[in-house]
This record gives sequence, structure tokens and C-alpha cells, in this order.
Amino acid sequence: MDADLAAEALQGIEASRERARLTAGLTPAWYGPAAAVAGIVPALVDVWAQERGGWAVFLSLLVALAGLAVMVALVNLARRRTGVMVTLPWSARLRRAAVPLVTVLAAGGAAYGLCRQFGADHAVAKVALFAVLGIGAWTVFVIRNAKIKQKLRAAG
Amino acid sequence: MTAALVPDEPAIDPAINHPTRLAVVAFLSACDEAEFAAVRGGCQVSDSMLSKIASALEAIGYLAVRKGYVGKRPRTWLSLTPAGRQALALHIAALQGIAATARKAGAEAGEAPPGATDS
Repeated sequence: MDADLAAEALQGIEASRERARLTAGLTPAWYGPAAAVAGIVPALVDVWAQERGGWAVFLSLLVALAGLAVMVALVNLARRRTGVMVTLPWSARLRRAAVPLVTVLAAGGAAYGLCRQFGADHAVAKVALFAVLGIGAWTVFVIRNAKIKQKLRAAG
Repeated sequence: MTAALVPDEPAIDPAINHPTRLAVVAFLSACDEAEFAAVRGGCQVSDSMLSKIASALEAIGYLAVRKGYVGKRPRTWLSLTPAGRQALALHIAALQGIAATARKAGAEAGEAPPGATDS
């Protein structure tokens, strides 16, 4: 085999692998809004339950657990929907999520702090916190998808 | 299924030497398994071409095909078998060997004093 052909084949292999890795990182368009709703709704129910007391508190606990279950189900469903399954070690997942996670948490904390600063009570501040977390997570997925699609286009 | 004889040392594997087959195998080597449509899109091949490649590679034991469902929709998942991964690794090693030999030969030719080849 010719050396140029060998070099070309090696480049082709790396390009194919890169496309697979990028495709695996895509999340379905519905994932961001669904994750945001799964985060915000339990917070809203919790605020409502704190005002009513009694059985509503128990209900809010159930809704919070359901929200958590929905989150886990969404993660699994989203992985299957991308069409490319890659098992990343937890360390790699954390490394990838570290910057957006810290940014979104900081934004949520800032929203809570600002609400309290401007005289909002704990319930309102908590809803604001979860709204920012939910919308922040959605934004992170939109940005990540856009970056991946741009790289896929560049890769041809 | 007729398993291909995977060599123990770097060698160009004719079963995956074709660029399209190599692209499919390389794509699958970067993941645990991939859906048929994702491989088709990632490797930019047609349905029929990918079907042929998948059947051929499955026949020699390089590729596994799994039928499943996502919701109610039927899906076909493709993955490389350990034999397929080994074949790709040896194929890549052979390609790297060819490229390295050519680079070495090029470097030696560049270092040779002018007129060294004249005799």
C-alpha cells in the first residue's frame, strides 16, 4: 500500500471516531425543556405545600421524588435517542460537566441571593433559584448542541 | 457465520481496507454501540450500502447486530465485536507502520549527501 493512502486512511479513521464521539454528546432538543420542567415543578409544588401544610407537604415530597425519577429516566432516554452509546467513566463525565454545572449553580445562588436582597421571602427566592437552575441547564444543552453541530459540520 | 482469521501482528486486513468499510468500523470503534441511522449519518453512506457492509462484517464476526425498540419504534443497533476491534487495531498498526517507513525513507533520502546515489 502507498504511504499517502495509509496516511489518508489514518486521517479517515480519526475523523470517523471523532464524529462518533461528537454525535454521542448530542442531546435531543426536548431534553433541555423537559429537564427544566422536571426541576422547576417540584420547587413550585414545594412552595405551595409549605403554605398549605399537612398532607400537601407529603404530596410535595412525592412530587420531588417523582421529579428525581423523571430526571434519571430522561438521562437514560436521551442517551438512547442520540443513537450512539458511549460509556464514559464518572471522572470524564464530571470533568465535562464541571464548568457548566458550577456556572449554573452560581447563577442559581446569585438569583436566590438577589431575591432575598430585594426583600422577597424564602419561597419566592427558592422558585427563582430553581427557575434559574432549570433554564440554565436548558441553555447549557442548547449551547453544547450548537457547538457539537458546528464541529460536525466542520468535520464534513 | 464464518469468522475471519484475525492475524496476531499488524497487517492490512482486506475485509476492512475499503474506505467505506473502514469508516464504519472506525465509527463503531469509538462507541459501545450505535444505531443504524447514526452510523449512516456519521459515515455518510446510503441505507443499502450500510446494510451490505453490516451483513459482510457480521458474517466474518467483526460486527454484531442487535434489533431493539426505542418506544414503539424498531431500531437496529450495530457494535464491533472483540475480533473486530482487534482487526481494526492491527490494521491501524499496519497503516502506521507504512506511514512511518515512508517518513523514515524520506528523511534518509533528505539526509543523503548530494551525489550519494550517483555511482
